[in-house]
Amino acid sequence: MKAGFEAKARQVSLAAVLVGFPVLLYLTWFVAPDWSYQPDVTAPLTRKILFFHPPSAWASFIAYAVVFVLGIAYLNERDLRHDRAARAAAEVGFMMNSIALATGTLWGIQEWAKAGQNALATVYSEPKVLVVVVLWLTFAAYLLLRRFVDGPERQARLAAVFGVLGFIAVPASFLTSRLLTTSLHPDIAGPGSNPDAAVSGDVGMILLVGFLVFLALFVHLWLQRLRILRLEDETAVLEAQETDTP
Amino acid sequence: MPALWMSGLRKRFGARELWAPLDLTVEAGETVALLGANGVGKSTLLRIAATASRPTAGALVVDGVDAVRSPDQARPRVGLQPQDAPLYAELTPHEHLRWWARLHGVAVDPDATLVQFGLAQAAHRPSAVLSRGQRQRVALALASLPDPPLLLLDEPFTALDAAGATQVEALLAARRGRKGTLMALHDEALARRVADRVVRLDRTGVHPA
Amino acid sequence: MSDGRFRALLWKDARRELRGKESIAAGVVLVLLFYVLDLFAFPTLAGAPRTAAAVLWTPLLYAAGALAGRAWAAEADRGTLELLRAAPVPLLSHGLSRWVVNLVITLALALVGFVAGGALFALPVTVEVALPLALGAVGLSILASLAAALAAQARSRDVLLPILLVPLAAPLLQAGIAATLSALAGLPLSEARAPLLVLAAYDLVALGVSLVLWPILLEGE
Repeated sequence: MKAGFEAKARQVSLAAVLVGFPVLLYLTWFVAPDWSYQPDVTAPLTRKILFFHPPSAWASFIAYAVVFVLGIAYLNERDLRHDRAARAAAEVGFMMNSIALATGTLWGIQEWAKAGQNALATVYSEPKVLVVVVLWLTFAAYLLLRRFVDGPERQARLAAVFGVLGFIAVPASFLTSRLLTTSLHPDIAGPGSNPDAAVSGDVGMILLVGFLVFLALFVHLWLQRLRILRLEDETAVLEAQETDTP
Repeated sequence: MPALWMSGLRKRFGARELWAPLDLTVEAGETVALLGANGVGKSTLLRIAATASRPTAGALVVDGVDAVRSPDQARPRVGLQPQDAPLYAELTPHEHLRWWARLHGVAVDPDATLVQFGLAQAAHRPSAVLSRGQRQRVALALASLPDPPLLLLDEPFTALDAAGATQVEALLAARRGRKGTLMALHDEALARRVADRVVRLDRTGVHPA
Repeated sequence: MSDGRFRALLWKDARRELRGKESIAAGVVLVLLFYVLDLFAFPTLAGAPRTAAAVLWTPLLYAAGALAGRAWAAEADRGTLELLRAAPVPLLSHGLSRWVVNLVITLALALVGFVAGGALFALPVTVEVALPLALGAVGLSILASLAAALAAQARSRDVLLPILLVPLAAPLLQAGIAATLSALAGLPLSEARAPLLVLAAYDLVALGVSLVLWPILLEGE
């Protein structure tokens, strides 16, 4: 990526976050419908987390796709710059994934908790929650693997291999959940989605805004992290040259 | 056709570039000794020639095969005796040789090779109990077994007694004029005695020594 | 590569495994240990199909990982990865050969667990229970071999291996447990068609991906 383009993208994504986040909050609290009139909605207020939960989950899926594509690019070209970008995307993706997991847990505890049942156990036995957990574990494993491997080339090669394997496992886990189970979790998009949970009007519009805000947040943090990692690498090169000069 | 041709070859580990782009040719029938300070990358250079390590940039041709593009085709043309003579602990020298001969598709009598390398006594002992010198002999036997167009020896005299050293010199003599051999050595006098040509590796590349 | 060369690789890997007989024995004991532990915890599994599914699948996951982990750790520690890189065959063939040996042993350990489940917990000893375990063993042996070859090139590989393996094996475990639950409910195989197809499909995808990844995994620096 050209330096000028990257700096521009960093500024634009920052502006999008700074403008978009207050707008998203406003829409969530003042425009989104009040679900309290629906008898089957247990926790109408908590439901507003909808505008943060799927967007952060989608942003983490995009982050993982970026990790996968950059891993393949590294294996093809053996250019450590691709690996650096993959690492930055994984770190930010892991954070997005953690947000999705936390917001989903908060909502699930309120919405699904039945009298006399352990609320957390109810949430985590849910197959669709398991998929986000699998992605979280995949990100965690990817980042841990990097910490346990010495040498930039070996680290890049093994991380790319694991990235490819995880990219097969996570969608497979998702499809398996969809195919094999009936669940409490609303499917708002894709095959087998639940008509009761279908979103329309304001809700769909706010979700889209939420997604764009989280996408911008991902892009911005990714590019910032990338810049820090690049500076670290450049420092290492300078240090290596210093020790090499007799 | 040279046994080994390297041109503009570079190798980088992270931020560290091992050498300025280097050129090295080993003609068929030529025995070349490679000298150089510890840590300058002699083993890495041999491993690159054996396709066990990927060069960062540059051309590498082994016996007419582009080893960067087609390592799987180049590998059968090279024999490498690695630095630490790694062997499977559970398998005996006899089993190693039999396995290696089958991989190369050559009909070699393992027993005769074992005798040639002074391993008759150790032939059927698990490698875990062999001495360092005995393992070195097995590693040399494996590398030279298919009589490859290019033989790469990483400190072949290490841990060998006088008889073992004589066997290595006999191996080198048998290849001279027929096949190419490149070996990393640290003893310059020895290098001048056993090699046709002696070169030195440093940060600036490979130079005649 | 000719069959003769691949047979030579298999011969070497099988021979190593048989020489270290104790490793296969240890695998069997490991699986049985899980069942003994389960005996302490659950005197019966009647009416507890979800627990029974966990009893059947947990030792298989653990044994597949331990088995593959030991094999590749030995290659890395003894430096024999370097021997493989110097061998006159494509790097892919080393991974495949090692996987075939792991597959045979993992299937054998799945059989041990299957029989132990029947003997100790009176779980049904039927093809409906056996098939998902067998399909799972195939996929687990592929993924465990790849994860073990990854972990072998890292520090603290014993800690790292399960961390790498479990997310990769998640689809297999999800589908495998669904098929096992169907079998434990006494339903015919046709009722478990979807999870069985997922198991078979994931096995094939994992095998296909492994063909691409083995040469990269076994490269040297």
